[in-house]
Amino acid sequence: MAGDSSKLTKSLRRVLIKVEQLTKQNSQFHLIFAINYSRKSDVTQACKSIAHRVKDSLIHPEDIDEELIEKELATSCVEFPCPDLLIRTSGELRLRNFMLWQLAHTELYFTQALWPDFGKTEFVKALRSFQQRHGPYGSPND
Amino acid sequence: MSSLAIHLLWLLIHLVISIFFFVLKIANVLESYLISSGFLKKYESINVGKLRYLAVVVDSEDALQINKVIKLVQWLADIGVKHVCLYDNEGILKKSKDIILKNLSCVKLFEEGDEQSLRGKKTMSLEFASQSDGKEALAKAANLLLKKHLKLRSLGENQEEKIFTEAHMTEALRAVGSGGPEPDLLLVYGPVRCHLGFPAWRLRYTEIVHMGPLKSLKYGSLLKAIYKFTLG
Repeated sequence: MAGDSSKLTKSLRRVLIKVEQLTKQNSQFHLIFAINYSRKSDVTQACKSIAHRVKDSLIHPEDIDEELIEKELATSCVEFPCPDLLIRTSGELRLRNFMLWQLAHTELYFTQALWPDFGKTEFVKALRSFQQRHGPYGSPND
Repeated sequence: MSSLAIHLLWLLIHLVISIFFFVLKIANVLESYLISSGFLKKYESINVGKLRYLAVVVDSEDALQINKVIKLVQWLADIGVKHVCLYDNEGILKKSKDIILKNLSCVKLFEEGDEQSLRGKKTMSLEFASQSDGKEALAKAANLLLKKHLKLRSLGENQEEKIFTEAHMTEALRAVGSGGPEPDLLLVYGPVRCHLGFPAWRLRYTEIVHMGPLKSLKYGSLLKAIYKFTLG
């Protein structure tokens, strides 16, 4: 789970912890829920973690670079923290404070469909749109 | 046999969706022509005051077409946009800053405080940004905050919670020369629909619109994107 869980209700926190425990050993699919998540908070939190490590003499201030900050973000637990495709539903064209660091080269797909109505057809359209893109980040035939 | 049928069905779905996107593309080209020619009257009066700050991201290969970039910025100035940020990942536009400014009328380089000082004037302010203003700048800003924190710790004060805040990060970014307002609208020119590393600290509530490659730059499409934003 990514985000500030301290502001969630106790019952919801218990459910999230239980789900994490139950699925810990699974290996086919990594699902991250970003709840009460703010991109700016994620980066600020990463800086705090780095400050702790400097305080404990694990790293030097000169070692701080982009790679180090990336390793402290909420998505550092996955093999591929930077998504290839982001699907934004409900017709909104804004990222609304979501994943600041990781989306530099992510294909952004905006759809008018509201979330409950986003089904297989919409998903196929998103994948097709992603497939059609050409560029240094991957051609359709890669 | 069933796998062949599934494969054919998949190809058919692909074909239908491809035709749909092709027809959509033709319709967009036609609409852009009608807007540029003035046939669609609603685009003649745009409340451009709603668009306080516009950012334009250009793919680095497209950024080599400086004449197109100059044309785009001049169109934006003619529409009445007051503040524009030009970004490309490799800093090609930054390096071409002098050439671009020289070929534009009523455009000046962005300075802090321009939002107030340019009100009511015809001048547009232009900012240039690149990858060094994105993740690199965040790393430098983090370093700055850390040095401040360590200094205070050495004086016996533990101000961690007060130093590592979003507001202080914004200030630190300004101190390393990568501050700047949050754009209301971001137009992406390039083959890929992504922001290509635009300083993401400034993209919280920015609307992002993909305009296609710079070689197919059209005044009608630009006007339509700005018009749609002002309706929101």
